[in-house]
Amino acid sequence: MTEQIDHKKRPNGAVTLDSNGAGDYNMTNDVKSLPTAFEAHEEEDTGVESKDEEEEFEAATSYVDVFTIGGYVTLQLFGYLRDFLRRWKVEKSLVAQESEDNVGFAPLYSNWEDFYTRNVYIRIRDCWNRPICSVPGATIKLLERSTPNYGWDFHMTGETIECINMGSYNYLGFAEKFGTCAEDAVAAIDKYGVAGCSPRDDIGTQTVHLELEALVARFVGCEAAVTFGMGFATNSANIPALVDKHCAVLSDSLNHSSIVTGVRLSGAFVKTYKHNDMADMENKLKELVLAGHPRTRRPFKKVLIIVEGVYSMEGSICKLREIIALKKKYKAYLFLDEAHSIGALGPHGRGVVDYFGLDPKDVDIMMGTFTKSFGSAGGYIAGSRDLIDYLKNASGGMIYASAMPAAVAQQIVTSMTIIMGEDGTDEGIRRIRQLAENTRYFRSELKKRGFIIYGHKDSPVVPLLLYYPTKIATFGRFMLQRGIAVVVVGFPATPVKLGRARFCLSAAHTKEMLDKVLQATDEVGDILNIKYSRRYGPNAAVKKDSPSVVNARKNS
Amino acid sequence: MPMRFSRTIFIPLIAFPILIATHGFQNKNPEASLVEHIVGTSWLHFLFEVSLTVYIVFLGVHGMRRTSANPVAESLNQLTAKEKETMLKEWKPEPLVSTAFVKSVQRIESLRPKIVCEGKVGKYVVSGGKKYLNLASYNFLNLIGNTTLEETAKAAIRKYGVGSCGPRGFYGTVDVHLELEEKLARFMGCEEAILYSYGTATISSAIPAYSKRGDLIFVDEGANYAIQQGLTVSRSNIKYFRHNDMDHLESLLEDLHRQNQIALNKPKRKFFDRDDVDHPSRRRVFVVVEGLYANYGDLCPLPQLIALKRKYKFRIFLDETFSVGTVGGTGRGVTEHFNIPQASIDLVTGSLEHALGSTGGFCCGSSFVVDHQRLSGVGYCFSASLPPLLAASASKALDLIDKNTALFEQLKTKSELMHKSLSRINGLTVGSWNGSPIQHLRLQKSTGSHQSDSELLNAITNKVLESGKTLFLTSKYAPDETIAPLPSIRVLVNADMSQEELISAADELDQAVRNVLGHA
Repeated sequence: MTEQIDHKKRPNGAVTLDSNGAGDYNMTNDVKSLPTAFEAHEEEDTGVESKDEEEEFEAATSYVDVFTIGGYVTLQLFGYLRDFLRRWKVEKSLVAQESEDNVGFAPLYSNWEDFYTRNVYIRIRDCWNRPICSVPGATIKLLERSTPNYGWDFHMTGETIECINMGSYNYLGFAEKFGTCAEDAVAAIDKYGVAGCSPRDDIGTQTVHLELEALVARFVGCEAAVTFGMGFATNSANIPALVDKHCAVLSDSLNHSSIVTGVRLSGAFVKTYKHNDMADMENKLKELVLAGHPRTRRPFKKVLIIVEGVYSMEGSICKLREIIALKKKYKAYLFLDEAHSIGALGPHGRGVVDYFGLDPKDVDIMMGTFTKSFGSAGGYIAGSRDLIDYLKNASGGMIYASAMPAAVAQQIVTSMTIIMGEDGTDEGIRRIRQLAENTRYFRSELKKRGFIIYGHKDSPVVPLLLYYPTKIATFGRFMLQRGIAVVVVGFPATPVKLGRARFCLSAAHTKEMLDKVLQATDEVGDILNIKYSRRYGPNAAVKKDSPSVVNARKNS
Repeated sequence: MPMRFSRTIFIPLIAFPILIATHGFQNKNPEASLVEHIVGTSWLHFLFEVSLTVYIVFLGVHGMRRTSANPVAESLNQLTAKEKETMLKEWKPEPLVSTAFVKSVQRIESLRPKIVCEGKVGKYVVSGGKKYLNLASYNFLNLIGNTTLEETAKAAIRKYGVGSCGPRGFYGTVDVHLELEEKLARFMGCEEAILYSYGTATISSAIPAYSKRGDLIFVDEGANYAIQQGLTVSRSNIKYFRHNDMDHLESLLEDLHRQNQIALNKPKRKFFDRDDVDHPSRRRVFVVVEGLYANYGDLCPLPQLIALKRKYKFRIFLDETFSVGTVGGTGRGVTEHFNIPQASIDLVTGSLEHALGSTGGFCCGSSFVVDHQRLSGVGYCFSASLPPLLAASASKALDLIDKNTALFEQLKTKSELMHKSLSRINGLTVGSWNGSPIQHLRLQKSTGSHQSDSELLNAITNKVLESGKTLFLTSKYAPDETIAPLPSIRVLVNADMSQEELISAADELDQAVRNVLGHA
């Protein structure tokens, strides 16, 4: 398969296109000799690869759609059959039952709410909640489980499985048990204790928190920052402090559940726009600003646009330049949730603002989490001094929620210092570059093999489309057999017809590991017949006069 | 899939093939015209087919009609570009955070001292170079600074690193989490426990997982902020009853019962009404109470509540954030204190952040109830799991307190002592239960406004701070609390404080009160 592809290399080793249109990055482990991925990115802008191909959401043929729905309908019919058998006691019901004391109570769950759970999810739930017993680094040790009754009960067999970890959010590889970060965290426990057991506004503020907040503010390029102990709570406790029922929120349709919860708690009027669609966003923004509240017709006090830096289920990056232009035109405020992009994007790891080379002052509220790139936990909000002063005093996350434990805060301080290069080494920049290279290499290699990969070519989250509900489960299981831990997702986390597997790349992955993963994916892809791409790979329909083919001919 | 939807789609989908199969094709008449072929041998059969086709087309058109054009966008299209430009220029949004509001919030905030601890937040804290006896943090069993727990946490870092790097569903489930859940379930005497990574996220994720739009929740007025958030997210009908007033709750339940009777006596329900969510047989009723109230320091009257439960058939959510590890002979909470079987409570929520010296929260109860949150608890599914070092530390803490009845007796004695000492202070009243480690002191004679009450109480605690060696703090509430309690000084007792320390702390407070309020 790979022999047909012509590996054309430009003299300085930057990205080139082969005849199939997929990028081919020559990958070496000697990081310093290569230009950074960002220089390569600039090279590509001149001509060969069109702007459209930076971010792709290829659609499969319609027969895949039909059979996917057919698959769900079959599962549903079987579900009805099993429910029928359980109801008439032909089959023993392993569903948990309400206690007999509660006779005459309104049922806690409606029948159809749990239909999907007991008839589909339970059968394949060995793909999720897999317990681990090691640090979630580049490799991971899973505890083996067995089930005697197809998913209702699990027993530990006592064995462990060593896998390559493509499922944990460890973008810069800071999930480590050795090294400066771990040592500093241990020292922090000696100095500050395990936890504070008190809210920040009472007595829970320790000197490490102030150090962390000053560092975060410097890292993202804002005046001040405030941190919280949980990333989810950062959104759900602070969005209500920023908007109330007289304000409007314009939110991307694929925003994270924490944002949806925060907006719901605030009581603001919400409008969603099609994912990353700037025309739709402009229309909706116009409606909010010019027409006001649809029922009362009063103008809104504020309009807040909420976007994410990298969307973890799609692998897409928000179009920040256009969003900032729109926000300035319509006098709205921008809330940027960089949960997955902080540390993972940008030449200096400062996130999506750094990636596009924009000014952090243009984003009113910068929010992010420390779970993904810093190997820790918690979230932050950064912005102007007024904003942060206000949040420190009025946010529920500071008044009621307990403070971030000191070891967690110290881990962030140490890892951030390393990323910024202020620890005196170039470890930070090495990791950033390694992640960018891994991303480019992995994505292009997968595309070449013919899988449909969603998202932006620089996003470290790689969704591989599987579509069928049954293939979702089989992919997860087969990859585990080959020693690779991936995340598979289906309905309801993704749309019904678009089940997928998701690879999370890390700076800790070496080329050998990625090659092993690629080979395993290739094998499983052939067995399951999931190489649906018609643009790349073996099933590609190469058009005679497509621009990439013409240019390839010109270059040869 | 909802049954109603299935009925309208599947019936034609099943009927259509049957009708086609039984269509009388003109097999015996090869000379028949096209029309005769279509109509078939029986015109009545053909009539059935036509009406079914019309019905399916009608469903399709009706379904598409729901996504009608946007009236707002239409009205906007009627404006000219110039008009739109002027309107945009005229629109003056408020600043994101108005400086006036910031200043007013800061002014209130400036009354409270800004404490920055230079070390551990244990029995003593060091702030600004001075050492204080800490009566302001929820460290009831003095497990902060416990060397065994610190060693366990350090060992966990050396095995698992710091963060868990994923939610529970995606490789964030570490074996320490499973161990902690099992231990919590055993400690509380329940079938199953579920672990959350943050205390305040626990009850605010648990309530919306069960209670949806149309359901009814009765809540105590003194419920804390996290419960209020859970109620808002759930979108259910909320009814508050007066704090700890079981008679008020009973009267509300009686009203509901009467309404239900009227609904039940309506004419017999049709086939299609079976999915009616508002029907009394389907509408769930919950009562949310706290074991030990954070804002008042008193216990909820659980035995009376259980009696009401049997009578009116509602489910109880008991938030034991502050009572697990403090109340009861072995620290199992209010159910142990009142000698009530754990199975009578549908869901118990607890916290690892107060008595157990770690971070996080948990829910426990029967598997039937708790297992649902593994897919519907928002704070569980969409959030990274608890860092393993905190789970390991909480696990060890449970081991330490498990058989240690002496510890809880000690805490109760110290709390009673503190209650007695504080009750002697002229000018302040203690409204809390005498065995509670959370004591709230409120002004005997309120000045009339929350603002000035707060200023007075803060003046008192600041006085103690500057002259003495003790740290007291007033309680603080967010601007958007539904029913903000009266301002108070919140005294938090630590089981390891000696009698002398407690009495001298109370004396210092007394001194400050005399100073500020000018009592004899």
